[in-house]
Amino acid sequence: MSDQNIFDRLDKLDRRIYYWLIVIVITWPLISPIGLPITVKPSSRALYDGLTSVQEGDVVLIDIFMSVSTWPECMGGLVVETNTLIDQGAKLVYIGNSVDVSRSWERLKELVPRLETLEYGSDVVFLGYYTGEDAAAAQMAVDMSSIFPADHYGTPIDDLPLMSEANSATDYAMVLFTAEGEVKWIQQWGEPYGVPVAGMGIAMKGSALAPYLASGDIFGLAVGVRGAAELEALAEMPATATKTMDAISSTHLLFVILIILANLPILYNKIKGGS
Amino acid sequence: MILKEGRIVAFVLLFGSFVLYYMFTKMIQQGKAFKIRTLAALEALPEAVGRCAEMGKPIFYMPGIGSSLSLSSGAYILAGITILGRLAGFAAKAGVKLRLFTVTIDAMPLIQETIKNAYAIEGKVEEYSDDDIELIANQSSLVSRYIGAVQREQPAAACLIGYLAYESVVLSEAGNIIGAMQISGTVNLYQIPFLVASTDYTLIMEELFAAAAAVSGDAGAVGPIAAEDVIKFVSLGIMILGIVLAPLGITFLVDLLGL
Amino acid sequence: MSFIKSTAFKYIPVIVFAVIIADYFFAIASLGSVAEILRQFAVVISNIALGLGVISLLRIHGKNVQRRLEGRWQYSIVTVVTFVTVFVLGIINANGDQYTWAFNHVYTTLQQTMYASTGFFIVSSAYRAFRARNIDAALLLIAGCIVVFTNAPIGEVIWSGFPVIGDWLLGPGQLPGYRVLMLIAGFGTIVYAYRVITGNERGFFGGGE
Repeated sequence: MSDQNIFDRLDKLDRRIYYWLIVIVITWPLISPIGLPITVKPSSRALYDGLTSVQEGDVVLIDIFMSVSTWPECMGGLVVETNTLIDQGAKLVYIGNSVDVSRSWERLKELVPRLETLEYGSDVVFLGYYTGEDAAAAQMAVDMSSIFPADHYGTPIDDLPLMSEANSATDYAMVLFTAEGEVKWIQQWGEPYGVPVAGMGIAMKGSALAPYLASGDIFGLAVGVRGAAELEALAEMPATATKTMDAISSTHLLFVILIILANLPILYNKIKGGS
Repeated sequence: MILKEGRIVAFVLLFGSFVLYYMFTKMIQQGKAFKIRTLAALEALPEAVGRCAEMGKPIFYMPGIGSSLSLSSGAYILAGITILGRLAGFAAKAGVKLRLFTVTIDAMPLIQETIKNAYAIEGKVEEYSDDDIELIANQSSLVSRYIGAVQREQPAAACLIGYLAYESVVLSEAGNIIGAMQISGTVNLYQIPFLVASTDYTLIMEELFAAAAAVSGDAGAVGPIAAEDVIKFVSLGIMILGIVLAPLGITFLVDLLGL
Repeated sequence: MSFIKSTAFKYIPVIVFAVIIADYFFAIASLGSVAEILRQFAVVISNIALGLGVISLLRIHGKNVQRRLEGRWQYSIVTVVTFVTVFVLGIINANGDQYTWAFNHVYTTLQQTMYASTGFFIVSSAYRAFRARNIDAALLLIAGCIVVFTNAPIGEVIWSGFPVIGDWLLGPGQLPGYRVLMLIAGFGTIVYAYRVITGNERGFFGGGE
């Protein structure tokens, strides 16, 4: 033990040390923001351009697949999407494949007070939770009312004027996915009916979504907190995602420093000529 | 035209694949042997059980999350359960306690039957207990339950094979903290890097199906896996042809595939 | 039951598959309505699975409590009591204050906590795994660090080249490999479909021969 040098200690660094470092570097920028500039990626810009190309009266379907655990990554972007689409005069239909979608909807209403100013049933509808994934998406493309005989609040779908004009895929100007579930929209709405698909993914899914973007299956993509922050920058609505980016910067910097430290013992051993 | 536009080639390829699967299955039934290459993760199962037997510790198994009825996760969970059968056989033989954690409620009867059968084949059905199979409400609860169980019971080995999402990082690292040997496998693309970095052996993508086929050994499982090699070669050929033709501005292949 | 398993279960997947596939590939008007009904069945079955899940959960945890299963029965009590409480609140009024409180202040908080713990485990895993023991590992390490700096605004501040290289890595750099993996996943799904319609995949109705 006493003949352990610094490199041996670095090799077996107690994980509690860097857990505490993570807590500090996440918390500090949230308390005292730095305000580093954010460069917008082409994929986020394409998504935003798609949102701003929506015409007044167009109906947009938004699938809130995120659960409450992915709010930090995706809620900011969803807020921007909603605000932008309201500015464009679009009509919005919200659904969700996550069991806590009603919670996400309530949270969205808190963050976008303008949703309450829209006429429910004519300009915005929240249909609620659905299950069945691909089968449900395929059936919705043909007849939404067969999956949603009523909205989340129990109002029969026939009593919602918006749903009478937006009952199948061809009635929608675009589908926006949130966090996950992009494959079913691409396969069941995008490919057969040509409905434009775009959305946001959690950071983990960035690489998985890139092929769909490259092939044109989705026209725009915002990934993770960074994507949400980019949308906020484009819409000039800085909010939580923008504030979080400083914490992202500090944490990522710490991450790289830790990796460099973790490799110092290997470098030291190589120089020493040992194993 | 009775076939919908843009789906002719897809139809031909799909049913061509089925014909190939059928042919290869028949060939196996008639005695031709197709050997699935050695999969390190599968070969490591007895090693994992042996480690547990030496250390007197249990082995943990998690067959993934989601529903076995779901299109996105069902096939992989079922493949994970097939591999579980082999592991259960090794565990029964070695007298190692097998602890299973799952959120897949609809697969519970299958999981119980699979493990019980494995124990029965080894003549140790009395050592099987439903109590060793824990059903947990959801993904997040699974994470906290599994981490706690790992810390308390200190398994010498753990297997995370099936449909894995974000919990793959947490569960594999929980095993690493106590120094457990870990075998993983999933088809979930964006979890594979985490598993490769965190576990000792990983079944990547189709290796999960191949492993399940190797374990079950029946012609209906091995035949399609063997036929897929032909399909992969055909796909590779199409890709190479496309790479050659595209810079020359020849679009007949693209037009053909778009029929 | 064995007649149902051996005969009916064997042919139901074939019929469903044939109808859905035919509806996808062939322009036959009458098939569309049959396919619609089957899709609705699929959605209904998914919903039934939720109810099945509830029953199984209560049964198993109830048994744990009844048998005082060592180390677990206390947590099973918590599970059952929590379930019943939230269920009753939801039945009374799913938009009510108490139900919303339980969702907002218990469920949401716990979910976000568990997901947030992933970050710590990723760093822990990376500290252990991102070691340049050989040339492959070194390349992985360098690529990883570049991508990390691509995602964070501080990367551009440190060096303007990080986003350029990182975007290439996330785009053309990894796309070919990812597409191959996606293709293979697709092949695997087709194999699974074949096994289901030929009756070789019996996992989803309890196993057995």
